[in-house]
Amino acid sequence: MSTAIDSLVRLRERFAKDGPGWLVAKRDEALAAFLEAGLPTRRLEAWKSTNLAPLAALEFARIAPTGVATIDAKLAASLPAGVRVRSLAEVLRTEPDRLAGRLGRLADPKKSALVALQTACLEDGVVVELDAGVCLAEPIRIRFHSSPDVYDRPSAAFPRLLVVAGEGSEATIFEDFDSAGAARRAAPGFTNHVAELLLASGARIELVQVQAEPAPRVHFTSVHAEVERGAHFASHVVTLGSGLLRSELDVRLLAAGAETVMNGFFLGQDAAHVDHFTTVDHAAAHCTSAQEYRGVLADRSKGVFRGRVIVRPGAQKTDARQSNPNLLLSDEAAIDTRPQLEIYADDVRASHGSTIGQLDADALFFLRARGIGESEARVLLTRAFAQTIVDAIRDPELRGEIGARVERALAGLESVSADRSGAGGAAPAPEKGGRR
Amino acid sequence: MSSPEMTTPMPPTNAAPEKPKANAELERLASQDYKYGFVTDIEEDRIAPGLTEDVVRLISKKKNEPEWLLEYRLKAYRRFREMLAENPAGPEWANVHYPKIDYDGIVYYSAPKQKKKLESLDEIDPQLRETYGKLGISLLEQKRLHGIAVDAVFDSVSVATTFKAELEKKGIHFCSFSEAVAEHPELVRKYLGSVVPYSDNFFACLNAAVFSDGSFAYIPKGVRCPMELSTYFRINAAGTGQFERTLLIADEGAYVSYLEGCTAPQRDENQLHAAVVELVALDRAEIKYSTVQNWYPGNAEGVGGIYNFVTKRGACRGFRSKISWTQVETGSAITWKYPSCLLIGDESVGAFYSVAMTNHHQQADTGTKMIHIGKNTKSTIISKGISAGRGNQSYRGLVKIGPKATGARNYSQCDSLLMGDKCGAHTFPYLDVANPSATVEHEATTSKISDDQLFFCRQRGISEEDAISMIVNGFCKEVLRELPMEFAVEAQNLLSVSLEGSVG
Repeated sequence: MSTAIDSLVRLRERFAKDGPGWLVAKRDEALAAFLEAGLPTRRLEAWKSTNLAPLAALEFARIAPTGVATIDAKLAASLPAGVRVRSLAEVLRTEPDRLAGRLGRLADPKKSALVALQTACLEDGVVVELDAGVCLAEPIRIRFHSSPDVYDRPSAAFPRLLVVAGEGSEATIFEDFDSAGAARRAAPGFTNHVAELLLASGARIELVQVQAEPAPRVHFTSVHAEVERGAHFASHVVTLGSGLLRSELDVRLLAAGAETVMNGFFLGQDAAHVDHFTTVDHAAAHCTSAQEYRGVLADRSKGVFRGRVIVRPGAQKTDARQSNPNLLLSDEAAIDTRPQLEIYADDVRASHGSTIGQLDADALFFLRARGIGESEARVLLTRAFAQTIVDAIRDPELRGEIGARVERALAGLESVSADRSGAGGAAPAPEKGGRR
Repeated sequence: MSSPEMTTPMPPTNAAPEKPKANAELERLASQDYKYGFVTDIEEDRIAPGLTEDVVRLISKKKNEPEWLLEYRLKAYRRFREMLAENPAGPEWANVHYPKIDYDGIVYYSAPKQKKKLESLDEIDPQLRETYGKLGISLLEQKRLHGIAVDAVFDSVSVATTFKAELEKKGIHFCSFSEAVAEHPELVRKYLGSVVPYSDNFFACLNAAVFSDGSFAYIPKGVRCPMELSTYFRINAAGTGQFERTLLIADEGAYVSYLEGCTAPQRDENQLHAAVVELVALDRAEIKYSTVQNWYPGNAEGVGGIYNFVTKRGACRGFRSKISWTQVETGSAITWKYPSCLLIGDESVGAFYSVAMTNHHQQADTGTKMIHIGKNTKSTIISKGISAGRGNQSYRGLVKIGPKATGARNYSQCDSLLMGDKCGAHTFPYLDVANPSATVEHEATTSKISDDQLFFCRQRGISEEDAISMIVNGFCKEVLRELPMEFAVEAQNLLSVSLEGSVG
């Protein structure tokens, strides 16, 4: 057992017995599953490209109470009837059995060691409930920021999100993982977030996540969504952090007409390691999934994308698309990508594509021919590459806000604007030495 | 083969009444589709089943091997024992399922009995010659008619190599692996295990310990091999495994096209075939390696068939060297095979063209690895998978661009065709890129034969069977055209035989 595991197991005792019996049992069960599996190592196929050793070596001083999850107060006050946004602890206290059978239904501790760890250390979080037919125009903003005091010594945070969307309800939920400007004095830490979304028939839920925690914090997010007949789930993941990050998204399409859109943009800078792992499970016929993850890797960063599309037996007329274009901006940046199709039905349309390359030399030339400087042209094209993902966010205000953050992050990259005319488009001539 | 009475098409009124007909057709064809299922009754020299150090020594002794080769085998044997202890079920990452193999229950050496060393081809056991006649590779006929040099491997031992003398005139060594050990030990010693080390993987390690024979070819500097070299592999004896090893070296500026074919008798047991193929291409050399694999796939219920667990790898060691793999995989109960290219030399080129077909209960996990190490290296991957019945197949391919592989280029395309709702087609590409000047593209699609395509053909008087065969051949065209002529015809026939009756 590693230092990290020891310290967490010790720290969780503070609240392990709190809450209703079913939750205590769930935590214990999850702990057992986690202790059996241990922290994932690179020997596991799913973790082949990501090394959690920096995490295993940490000795945690505390588990931050998820009071750091703040819900937009203004919004909370103005919520229409039929929408409840509350802290998980509050719901557990006032209606202990309300969430039994819902919390932890999708996130299975037996399938993922880190989900098991999250469940074992589950204390607080946010619960969003939407009654049937309720449409919320304003996005629900949830901010999980690791406040500066958290950064002094290694701390762990286990925020949780549960969304129960009734039939035909509609909402946008925005989760923001930020460092509150504490990047300069960051200490190692660990955020392990699990989100579960249950979409009843006809519900439309949009989940927007920005993950921008700085190194050396380790960030793990695991989102699980269950989409019923005619419901629509859209996920937008924007990753701008500089540390070690793993973001998992698992969507199950359960009945005809269920749809999902999975969009992601990840930017790797400094020595960041950004790992996105998506799974979409077409469990029924006539479902649609469209996935687009775009990566820009700069400096010494490493990107990993693994996307699984499963089409179960009988899931005829499935339409599944997946695409993962990546831009490598520096000599030391690297990307591992594994788009995967697993298809057990014959009448389906499934495709995936993945590309890795540089900015298009022709496009660069086009801009330069019109008097735009090399570095400016590079910034412009990189922004355009990212913008496709940002543009898919439905809420205009959120779209503008996130677009600006992406732009700021890109502008801060040296390797975007640096003159790299030697290494880009034209391939250099082969070495002459020793050749006839 | 398509039957003549099918040429008048039934008017396609609606789909339902077609089903029973197609099922009947399927049953009819299931019994006839593996025509190589015979057993040749021939006296064999075999050792007791089991894998021990003594067995390894015995194989080595039977083949009069030098000490260094025995050492190599023993090293591999010890490593294999370690691997087996760590993981008694063998590697489990592939998307194939099979009962645990008892590695101590296999006969590791079986050879057609021969009393004395053969002086010429005419002295080969007539029964053996007949076997090859049935397979369509009558060694003597072949020699006269086709101008293809053939090395035939029966069970574990190479029985005949044609055209040897003529090739020697050009300085080309083409012979069985055992002969190569005796006649060209310096070449074998230099290159054996240099592309696939004995510890490479579970099955390669097993092979390194117990390999019995195989083919060897060396093409000297600047020589363009005047004919196609070919090896025909045949598993005959029951309860045996086949572990052959092929080593092909193309020296600077040489060119060779190599063909490999495989068949086995129809048996209820599963037989293990774990081969290793190593290719070495030096400066500006080119190797074209084509395989038509038609091991016995098991019957319609999935009983019997060959486990084809093969390690194939080529090293492009020189400037502008080129290796291309073309494979048509229609046989075997399970195929586990990833012909790979190590693109070490600058501007070297790797290619992989594959058609894999799974029907009934066949499983295939196949693909390639393109490891880009040199500058401006290029690779192309075209993989076509056809899945019918309860067949399951996966494309699993790695494209790795090293940090120094400036200007590397890869294009991969994986298409799957599904026939019926019980089969599966999966794609697992691994793209690892560590150089910003690399361009890597991967595309995959999955589809079925559309009703419109079928209707179009049937309207024009083409029977359903012929239409399917035509559409499938069209689907595979990009790969089939890479095959040498003789093989292309055989491959097309194999595809239509394996597919008939699979749509209904």
